[in-house]
Amino acid sequence: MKLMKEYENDIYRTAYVYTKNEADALDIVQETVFQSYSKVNNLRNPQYFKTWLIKITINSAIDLVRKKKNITHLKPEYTDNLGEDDGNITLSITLRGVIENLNEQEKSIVLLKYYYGYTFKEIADILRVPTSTAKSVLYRSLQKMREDMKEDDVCER
Amino acid sequence: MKGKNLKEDMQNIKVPKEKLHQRIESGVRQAESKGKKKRRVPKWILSSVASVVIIGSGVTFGGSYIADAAESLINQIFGSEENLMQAYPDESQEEIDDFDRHLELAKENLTEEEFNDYSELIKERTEIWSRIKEENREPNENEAARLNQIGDLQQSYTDKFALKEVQQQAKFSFTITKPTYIPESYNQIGENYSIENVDEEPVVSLNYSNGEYLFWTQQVNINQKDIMEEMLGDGPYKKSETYSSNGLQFDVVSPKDESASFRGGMRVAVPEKDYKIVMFAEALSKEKMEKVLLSMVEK
Repeated sequence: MKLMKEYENDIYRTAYVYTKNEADALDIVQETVFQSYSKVNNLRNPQYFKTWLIKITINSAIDLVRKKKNITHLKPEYTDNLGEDDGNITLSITLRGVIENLNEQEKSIVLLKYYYGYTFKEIADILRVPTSTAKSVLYRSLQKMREDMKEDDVCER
Repeated sequence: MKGKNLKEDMQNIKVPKEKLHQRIESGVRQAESKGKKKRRVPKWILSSVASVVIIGSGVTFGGSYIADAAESLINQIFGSEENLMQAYPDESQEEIDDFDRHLELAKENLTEEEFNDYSELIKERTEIWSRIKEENREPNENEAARLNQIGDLQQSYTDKFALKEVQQQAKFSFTITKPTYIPESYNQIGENYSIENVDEEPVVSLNYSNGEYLFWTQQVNINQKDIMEEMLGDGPYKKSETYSSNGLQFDVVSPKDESASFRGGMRVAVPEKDYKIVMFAEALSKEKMEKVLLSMVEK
């Protein structure tokens, strides 16, 4: 419970990136807590608790998004929650860029790399993909966001 | 710094604290109401003996293993059980006995030099955890890195007797089989035995890689739930085909969407030999997967 408190904000914020709204993000928090409490005895390396928790969060978020896609569109609220972009065209990664441009796998890799600071090898382990896939998906994601920024820039001119 | 803006943006996502805490409590209650199950092997054994991954709970080692307290390997390595329990205070006597049994098996199956090295690794791991527990904290970065390194080194030893260890807990009703056909440039990179649920037989997992892509196989008792069923549930795969070849039934699954890690999966059932084999591959065609599986069942 103590450890959970330490990571609760990260769990919520990570969930929010996928769901774009509070209610669904809270559902994911509850599911993550449920799963982690139920399976904590399976955790082979206790020092990886945080990594393991993030992995559960991401999987729960992707599951929820996949289920909801078949029923209804997720209600985006994030415009209320975020500041405006500063318009910096150099390759800065903004949350808005991540939410608007990337699919679930791309979001996971960008978050793990640039928010949590994991190495490609660690990301590959967390998402169970080869390191080469993690790298190529990250580069594809950066390219997508770069192109989107350029489009915005053209529109504004 | 590419991630700077993202980090700042993430910190700016407003967290509804009260609702968040309510939902955390609900999650805990939900898990508790599911019922506490007894671990079959303590988690610290799993973390120090990474080769045998035992998921689930309920089974302890069978038989009536009672180590002579004075003679036990735990006493020889750690001085006393108390020293060991300082690092792992939550473990039961039964779990300590299980660990002693594990050490006996290690001694029987490793050379003297290997066993000494293995014991030193366990001692170092225990010392690190003792310090952490004493200070009531989590491992710091250096400790976590060393613990991880020790885990890898230990695994190189425990791999040598992983099969024997899992067979102490449950017997196989089928003969373990390996592919005689392995696609070009792939090599075996791992072999694991695990018991997924109480009263079930062990599952045999084989992992292969060509340096870039992976595939793995899992052989299980024909009546047990297999990993393909899990992947088909809420997982990112859908059943795409069932067909017969060489008198055997093959089930094929394909990704539902791009969140799937594998290009496809296949399962073959061999009822007369009491097993089925599931395979998932990142980059192999259906034909290649079938060829691998047929090479495992055709004897």
